[in-house]
Amino acid sequence: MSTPLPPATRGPLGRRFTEAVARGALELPVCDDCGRLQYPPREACGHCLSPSLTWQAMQLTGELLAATTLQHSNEAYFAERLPRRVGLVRIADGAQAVVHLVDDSKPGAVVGVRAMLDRSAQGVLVAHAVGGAMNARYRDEFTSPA
Amino acid sequence: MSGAIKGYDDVAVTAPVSWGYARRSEQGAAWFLAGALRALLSASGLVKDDIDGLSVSSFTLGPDTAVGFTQYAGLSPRWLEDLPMGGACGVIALRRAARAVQAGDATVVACLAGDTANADSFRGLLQQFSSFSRDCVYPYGAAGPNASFAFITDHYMRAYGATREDFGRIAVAQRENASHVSHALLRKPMTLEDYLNARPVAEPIHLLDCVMPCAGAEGFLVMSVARAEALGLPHVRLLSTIERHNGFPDDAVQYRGGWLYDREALYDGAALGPEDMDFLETYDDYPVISMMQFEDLGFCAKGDGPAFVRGHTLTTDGSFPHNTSGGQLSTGQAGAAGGYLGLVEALRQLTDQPVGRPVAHARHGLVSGFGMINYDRGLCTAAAILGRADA
Repeated sequence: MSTPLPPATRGPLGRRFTEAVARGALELPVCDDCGRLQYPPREACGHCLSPSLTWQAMQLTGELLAATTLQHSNEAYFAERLPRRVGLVRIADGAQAVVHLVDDSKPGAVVGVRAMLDRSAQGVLVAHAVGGAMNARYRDEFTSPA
Repeated sequence: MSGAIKGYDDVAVTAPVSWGYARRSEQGAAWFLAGALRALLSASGLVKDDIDGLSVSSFTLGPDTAVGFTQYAGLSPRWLEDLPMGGACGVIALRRAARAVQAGDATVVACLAGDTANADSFRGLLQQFSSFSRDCVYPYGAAGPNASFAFITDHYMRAYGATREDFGRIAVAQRENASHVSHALLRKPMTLEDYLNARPVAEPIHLLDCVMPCAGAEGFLVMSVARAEALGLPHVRLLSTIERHNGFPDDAVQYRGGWLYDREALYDGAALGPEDMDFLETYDDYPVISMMQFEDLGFCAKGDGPAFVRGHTLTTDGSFPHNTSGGQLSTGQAGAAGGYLGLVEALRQLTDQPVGRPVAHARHGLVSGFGMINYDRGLCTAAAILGRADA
C-alpha cells in the first residue's frame, strides 16, 4: 500500500508557481500595464485584460479574513492529519489566497504568507502570525528550499 | 441597472419531474437524464419527436456534453444548450428556453439536469472542479466547498451576529418540509438540538449544514401558453427573471450575491414586490447562502437575515414558506439537479400537484439559483418569479 501524499495535480500556472518555490522564491504574476497582482495566477490580467504579465518575486503579508478548522478531508493524506486549519488571507487589493494556517491566528490578525513545498513537492502557501512561528506539528509537512 | 426587458407573456412552464433519486448508483449520468426525459414525455403526453429544443446540465456526464446526449437519447433538436452553471442552472435553462420559444427557435424545450453518484465521483469532481480550485484550493486540505463556505459563514457570523441557531432554524424547517416528500433521501426528524450537536466538518460548518451528494434527475418543459392549453397541461406563467455572474468581484469575502444588481428589474418585470411572494425556493447548498438570498432578494435588509429567520416560521404551512419540499439539505443534491429542484417544486406548488405539503393559496413564487464555486465564492446567481396560470 502506498503512502498517501497531498494532491499533486496542478495546471501549467501551478507548475510555474512550484518551479519558483523549488528554487526558494515566492513568485506571482503582476500585470505589466496596470500593476495588479494576479491570484489565482492567470495569463491575462483580470483587471485590465492585458496579455502581458510578469512573474515577480515578493513578500506577502495580509489580513486573515476568515479561518476554519477542518475535521474532514476528501484526501487520505489530510484525513490522517486532522484537525487542521486553513485560512483566507488578503494578499493584495482584489486578491485573496487560501493558505495552510499553521498557528492559532484569528481572523483580523496580520499574517505572513510563505511559499513552501509540501510532501508532494508542490508549492503551497503557508501562513502564520507576523513574528510568530509554525506550530511544530506541521514541520514535517512543509520544506523551504534554501 | 438593466434597461427595458422583454416580458414572457406567452411562455408556459410545465411538467415538473423528479426521477431516480438514490444515495449512489452504478449507472451513468445519461441514464438519469434519459429517465427524466421519459418522465417528461409521460407527464405531457408528448413523444420524442415533439421535443425540438433541449437544455442539459450535468457534472458527471463527461466526457460528453449535451451534444453526446442527443445521440444517446435519439433526439434531433434544432436548439441545444449545455449549461454548466451548478445551482443556477434551473433558472438559467428556463431563461434560455423561454426566449427560444418566444423567438420561434424551438416549440417544446425539454430542460434536464441530472447526475450519478458513487464512491469516486464526488472526489473526482472536487479535484478538478476548476483551474483556480485545482491549483489554489484543493491542495489546501481537500475539504471541497465545505472549506470555502466555512470562510463565508465565519465571516458572515462575525459581520452580522448570526448564530448557529439561526442557520439551524432554516435546516430544521426544511427537514420538516421534507418529511412529507417520499423521494427525499433525508427524512429523519431533526430538532434544533440535533442540528447544533451534529459533528463539525469545517468550523463553523457542521454535518447538518451540508447537502448529501446523491444521484438523480429533475426536469420541466417550456412551450407557448397556446401549446400548453392545446395539450391540456397544467402550466405556470413566467413573470420575470434575472441572472448575473461574478457579482461584486471586489468583495474580499462573499457576503452578498449578484441578485442585488438586478433585483429591481426582477420585481419591476413582474409588477410585484417581495410581499407578493407566497413562497420562496432558495439554493441551499449551505444555510448561510439561503440567508443571503433572503436579504439580496429583498425580504429583509442586508445583515437582518438572523432577525428574519427568528421572526418567521419557514415551514410550508408557516409565515414564510421556504424550500417547501425540503431543499437539497433534505432531498439530497443530485449534482446539477440540485439547481433545478427549487424550480420544479415551485412548478408543482403553482399547479396544485405538490409532492409534500401544499402552500395554501399559492399564486406567486420566487425561485433563486446560486452556484459554481470557481475559487472562493459562488459566481452564478439567477432568480425567477412564477405565477399561477389562472391568477
